[in-house]
Amino acid sequence: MEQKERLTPYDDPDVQLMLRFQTGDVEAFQQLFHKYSPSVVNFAAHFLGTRARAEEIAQEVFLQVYRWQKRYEPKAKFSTWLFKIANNHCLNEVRKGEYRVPHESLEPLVDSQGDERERDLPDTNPGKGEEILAAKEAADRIQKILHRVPGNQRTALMLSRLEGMSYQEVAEVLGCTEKAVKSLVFRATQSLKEGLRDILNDHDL
Amino acid sequence: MTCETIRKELVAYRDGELLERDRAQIAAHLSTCAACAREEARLVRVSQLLTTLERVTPSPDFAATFWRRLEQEGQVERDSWFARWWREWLTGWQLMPALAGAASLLVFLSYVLSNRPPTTTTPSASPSALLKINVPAPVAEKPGLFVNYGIIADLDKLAHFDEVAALENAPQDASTLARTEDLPPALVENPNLFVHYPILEKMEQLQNFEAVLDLPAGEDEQRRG
Repeated sequence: MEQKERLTPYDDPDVQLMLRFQTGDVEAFQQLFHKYSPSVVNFAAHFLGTRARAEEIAQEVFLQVYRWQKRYEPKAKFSTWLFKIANNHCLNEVRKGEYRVPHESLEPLVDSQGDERERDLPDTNPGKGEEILAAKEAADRIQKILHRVPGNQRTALMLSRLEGMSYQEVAEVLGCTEKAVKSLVFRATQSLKEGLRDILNDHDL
Repeated sequence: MTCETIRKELVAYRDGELLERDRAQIAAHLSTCAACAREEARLVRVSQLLTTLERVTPSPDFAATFWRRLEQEGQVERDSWFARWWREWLTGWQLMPALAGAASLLVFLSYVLSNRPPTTTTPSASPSALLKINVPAPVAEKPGLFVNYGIIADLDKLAHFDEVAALENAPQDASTLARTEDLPPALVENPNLFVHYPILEKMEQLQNFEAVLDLPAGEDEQRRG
C-alpha cells in the first residue's frame, strides 16, 4: 500500500478537543458529540438494521466516551477510537442474538407530529419515478446483503464507503492489518456484486 | 499478473489503496483486457449503488435524550438548569421549537408583568455591579431587545422577582459591548438569536444570580468545581 505521511494523533484537532474535555472542558465534548453523533447513528443503523436501537447504541457510545475521559490516551485519530467503541457496541448487540431476523426496514421515521421524515436518498430526480423506485429497491437489497455478511466485513465496507476511512484507519478500528482490511472490503464487495448481479447485468456489464 | 490476480486487486485499486507500482500495472492491464475492464465497471456500479443507501440521521430529541441519560447516570456534575439548557441548545436539533416556545412565553409574561403593581423592594446589588456583562452591539442599539431578565428569573423564583427586575431600566455602557469573536458561532450565524442572548449572558454572569435562586450554602462552590 502507498506509504503516506504518518501524522501523530496529536495532529488531529478532534484529539485536541478530547484532551480539552479531559481537563474539564465540557464544551469540547459537546463539539465532538455534535460532529460525530450523526455518523455514529448512521453506522449503527446500517450495522444493526434498526434505527431505534441504533440511536440507543450511539448514545451508549458517547456515554462511554464521557465516562472514559480521564483514561483517554491519544493513540490514534479520535474518529477511529470512536468507531472502535461503536463497532464493539454493535458487535455486542448482535451477539445478544436479537438481530437474527434479516433486517428491519430503515423506512422513514414518523415524527411526533405524525409527519414522515423523508429519506436522504442521494440526488435522485423526483421526476423519474422508475429510477427512484429502482434506487430504493437497490438500497433495500444492499441493506439485506450487508446484514448477511460477517460483522467485520460489514464494518470494513461501511467505514470505507460510508465514512470515507482509509484502509489504515479501518485497520485501527478493527485492530487488524491493512492487508486484512483489503481482504475484508474485497469479500464484502464480492458479496454485494453477487447479490446485485441482476441489477448489474441490466446495465449491460 | 494474471486476470485472477488483477481482479483480486481491483477493489483496492478503485479505492486508491495500492502502491504506485501495482496501480500502474493494473491500469496497463485494464487498457488491454476487456474482461477485467468489465469487472472494474461492475465494481464501479456497486459503489454507485452503495450511495443509494439512506443516510440515517439522529431524531430531533437525540441530543436531549443523551444529556438526560448522562444526568441520570450522575455523570454530569450538578450544575444550573441554565447550563444544562445552554448545553442542549448548543448541541440540539430542538433549537427552533425551543425558541418558538420561549418567544411565546416572553410575550405572555411581558403582558402579565406590564400590569404588575409598583413595588418598593430595594435591589440587593447595585446596578453597576449587575451590569458587568458583555452586551452584543445589536442589542445595545435596540434596548427593546433586552428582554426582561426578571421574566426568566420570575419563572424560577417568583418571590425574588423584584431584586432582579431593576435590571430592566439599567443604563447601557458601550465599553462593555462584546466583540464578534466573543460570541457563540451559532449566534453570529443567526443574529435573530440575539434577542435571547442577553438573557443567557445575564443569567450566566449576574453576580447575585445564586442569591436569587437561594442555593444552599456550599452548593455554589460545588457547582463551580
